[in-house]
Amino acid sequence: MAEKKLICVICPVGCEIMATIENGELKKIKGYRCEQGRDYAREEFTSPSRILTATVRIKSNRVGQLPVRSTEPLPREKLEEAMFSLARVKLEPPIKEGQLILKDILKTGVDIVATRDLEK
Amino acid sequence: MQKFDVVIVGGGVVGCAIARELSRYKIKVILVEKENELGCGTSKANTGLIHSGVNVKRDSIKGRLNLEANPLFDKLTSQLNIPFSRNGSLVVAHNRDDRQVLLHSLQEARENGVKGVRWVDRDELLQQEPAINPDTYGAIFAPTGGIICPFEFTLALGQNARENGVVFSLENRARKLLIENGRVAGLETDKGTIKASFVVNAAGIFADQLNAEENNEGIKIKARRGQYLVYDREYPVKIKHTLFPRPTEISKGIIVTPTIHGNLMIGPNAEQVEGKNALETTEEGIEEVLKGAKKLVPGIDNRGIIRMFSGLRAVADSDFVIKPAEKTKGLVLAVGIQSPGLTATPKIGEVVGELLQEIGLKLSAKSDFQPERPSGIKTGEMDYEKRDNLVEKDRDYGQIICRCEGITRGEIRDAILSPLGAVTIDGIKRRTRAASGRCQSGFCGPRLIELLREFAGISPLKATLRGGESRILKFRSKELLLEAGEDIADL
Amino acid sequence: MQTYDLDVLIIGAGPAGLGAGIKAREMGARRVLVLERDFEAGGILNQCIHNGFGLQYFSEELTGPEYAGRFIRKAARAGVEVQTDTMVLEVKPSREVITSSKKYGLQRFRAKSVVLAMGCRERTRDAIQIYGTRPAGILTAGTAQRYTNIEGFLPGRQVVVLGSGDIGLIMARRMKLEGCQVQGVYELLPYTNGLSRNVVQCLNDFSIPLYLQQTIARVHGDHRLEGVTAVKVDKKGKTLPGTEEFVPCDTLLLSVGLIPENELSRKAGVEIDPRTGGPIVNQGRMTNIPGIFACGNVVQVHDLADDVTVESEIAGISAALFERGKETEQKEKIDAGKGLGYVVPQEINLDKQRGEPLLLFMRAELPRQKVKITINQEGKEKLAFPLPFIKPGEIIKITIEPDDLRELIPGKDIQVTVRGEGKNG
Repeated sequence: MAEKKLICVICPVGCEIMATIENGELKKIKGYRCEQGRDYAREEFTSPSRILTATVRIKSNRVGQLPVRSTEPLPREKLEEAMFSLARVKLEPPIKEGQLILKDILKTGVDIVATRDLEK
Repeated sequence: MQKFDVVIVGGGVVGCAIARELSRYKIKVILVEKENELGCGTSKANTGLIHSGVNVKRDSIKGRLNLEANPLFDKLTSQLNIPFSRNGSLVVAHNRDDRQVLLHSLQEARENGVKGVRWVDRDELLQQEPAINPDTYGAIFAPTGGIICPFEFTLALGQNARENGVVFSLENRARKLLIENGRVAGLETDKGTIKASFVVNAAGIFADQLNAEENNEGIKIKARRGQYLVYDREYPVKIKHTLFPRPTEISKGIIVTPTIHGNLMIGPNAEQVEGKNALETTEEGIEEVLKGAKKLVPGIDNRGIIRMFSGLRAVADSDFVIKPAEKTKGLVLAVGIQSPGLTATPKIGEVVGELLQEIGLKLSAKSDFQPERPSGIKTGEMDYEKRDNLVEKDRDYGQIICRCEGITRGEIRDAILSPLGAVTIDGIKRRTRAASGRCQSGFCGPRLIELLREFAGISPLKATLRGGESRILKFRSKELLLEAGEDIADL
Repeated sequence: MQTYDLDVLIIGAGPAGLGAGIKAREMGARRVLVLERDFEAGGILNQCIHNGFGLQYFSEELTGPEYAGRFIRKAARAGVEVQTDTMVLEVKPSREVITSSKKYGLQRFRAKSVVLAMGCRERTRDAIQIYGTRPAGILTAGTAQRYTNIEGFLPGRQVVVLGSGDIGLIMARRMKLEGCQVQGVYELLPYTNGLSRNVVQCLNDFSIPLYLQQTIARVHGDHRLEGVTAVKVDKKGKTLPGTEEFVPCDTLLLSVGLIPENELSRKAGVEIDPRTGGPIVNQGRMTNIPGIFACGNVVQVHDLADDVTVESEIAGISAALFERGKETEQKEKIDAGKGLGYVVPQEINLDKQRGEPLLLFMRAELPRQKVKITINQEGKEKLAFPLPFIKPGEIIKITIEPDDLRELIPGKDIQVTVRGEGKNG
């Protein structure tokens, strides 16, 4: 039996969550203060994932980058690989917040969308 | 091949003062400077003081030139249109012994003709400067002591010389003097050979690197480092005068002074350093400066510091070396110009002119010499109505780029487009004070890079802090990923 | 120069200024104008492209630009005017404000109330005295963030971060995701100053080392940074000789503290609290000058944009009420006692707060577990709020409910302190 500690990243409170692992299986978790925290801890021990936020290149007078995000968390180990895909994107304004930038990145089923409006 | 009468080596304050002096005459003069900007060495990193002449020896060259040059600054700075203030200096006694020595210095200063010098007792001193250490025995007050921006002074001298016909060749290193039959024939530079019968060596700390054997008569230039601290303009410790301690054998000591731009500045210490590139600040040095400053003004601490810097002073001897070279005819040395070099510069120019004449250069005055340098626009000095009218005519003066110092797009544009204009971030900073405030370019840096592109055609990836390899931005966003991505694709 | 009359004039169109403007309109102020020095509204959020905003205020996780976008659109709908590319030159105590802009030249505004919402700025290399040469490649983390996320440039490829505040942690990850090599994050203190979640998802996720009780003593390189000397420090932050280590890098990012930007406030005569670096305010966020209010990072450096919004709404309401003579002077002082760096607001009028909950912001001096925050008057504990842990990196928020507020005696100053559980002192 092993105890593992993690810090919840769901919100700024940053709860310390303890997990008991037996034979590679998650047996017990405690220390979370909300359901999201519990779900996060479960997932963190099995398949950790994160929202990816980054930028892509854009041709505009005022700015050179457009901020984007993943619509859902991506597997943690795919974050850096996803950046290579984003590096190849180059857009022109106008852009609307929420506009689809890259569909189904790395075949994860997750889309990349713009996080701001940008006029010409 | 270019042909000139005189080549000046070195675009510091000494070289520029000589250039301006020579631009009064009907001769062809070129100044070569290795950096892409004037005043990049000692001239930009010093105390910026115009010394009154207290505690100088009249029988030394530096003492005599100090005494003679100080009175020239009112007219000169008004001709060049640069700020100058005779804020007055105080040499403070901390004990009875200091007082004895300083009373003697006061007598000497009177004999040397330093105007208005007098003794102020403790009470008057504390009334004048309430922040000063109350443990004092009075001070010498010299009303003619002043402050100036040393870089602006250098640039103004250079710009005025250029207006009057001197050619400036920047980013051009002097390699070697050309000597034929024991006399100067010209100068070999990175950008080709310049033919000339007269050369002035005003190369500051590098002066002994120009044909060392032939012409320097064994002169070795050592670098003496001084470290400084500059404080936020809102720093609560305020003083009006330049405060000196009792001087030591080798230096005037650690000084506390307002700068011409209204910041408090303290320094320098004095350290002999190896090499000519040792421009670091060090923990020991800064602590020494703080300790020295606290002795004069106990309230000074290490909060509110907006800039630490160090400067190298060129020391050849105990005195300046200004004379024609003995072995090489046609060469004039203006080297080893340590403190009070900044104060002495107007006279150094004159003396070098006379020496050139003595060794055969014919000088006849131009009728169209223009001593006035037009003033640049400084929106911060205008009242709101004037400023509004200005913006009506030229919109660029309405947009503030540097929020700490309140510098507009128009002023930065002027700094880039004016003669001998700025080509680097430091160049903009020294001309306009943009980026010299408390955020030290954190906010305006990106905008300055944009303006260098707009007005000087320098792409953002080529914009530098101060030339050479000092690029600020090395890549475009995503460039490193694309580079690495190609590697992956190659496999 | 043209003169314009306004009800509420707000300086800064970041989350604080926009939040105050929207509330002021909702409270019935007619002409509300927000002045912004940048070319667009949104403030620093435009470059904070990471997620983590809005969890408290919107109950969903947004990125900085999304959080800003909501307020920009909401402000437009609420009839808040925003004038961009405009710099304030002076705020007069008479609530006259002079501005300069390329488009409009100089303008004079006369407002019934003014809200200061200029945000904060970053401490620089010189402010913390890192010795050595002066090469290119030393930037504050926020400046690097602007270059990377908005301008579209990277300062270098091999990065060292000094300071483990949130911006430092976020930028360590950001540089890593852009393909840079991040050598490590160095922190003078024995603990990080950022949120725990950022240590996990910015450093641990990417195997970026965190070096606690280590700092950068010197920088090297003539024209461009070539490396730094990292050194260990003792508990008091003094460097330990013999522990110096050269770390090669071409970029040093500094995340060594934020300072409320109060140059305009000081010149106007607004009294500044040396502990927060911001104006001394009452519960309505009014400064010592009647009709001049302040909110957001200009008052105290917040950890969360959500808290900035909460504070800005308080200021917006008071600013709107002031023009109708409904805001009164402060009476009781609130002092940060043992264990606390500061408390905001610093002053209150207890009579005026009747029936309304009172929100106190405070910052712990040291990390501690199982404590209570006590509210005291005349040396006696009046109220106590137990907390599982406190740390300097995370702001403490205490809400005193109207019923509890009755425990406090009007006319008596208030002290707030940290106490260990069950013990008085």
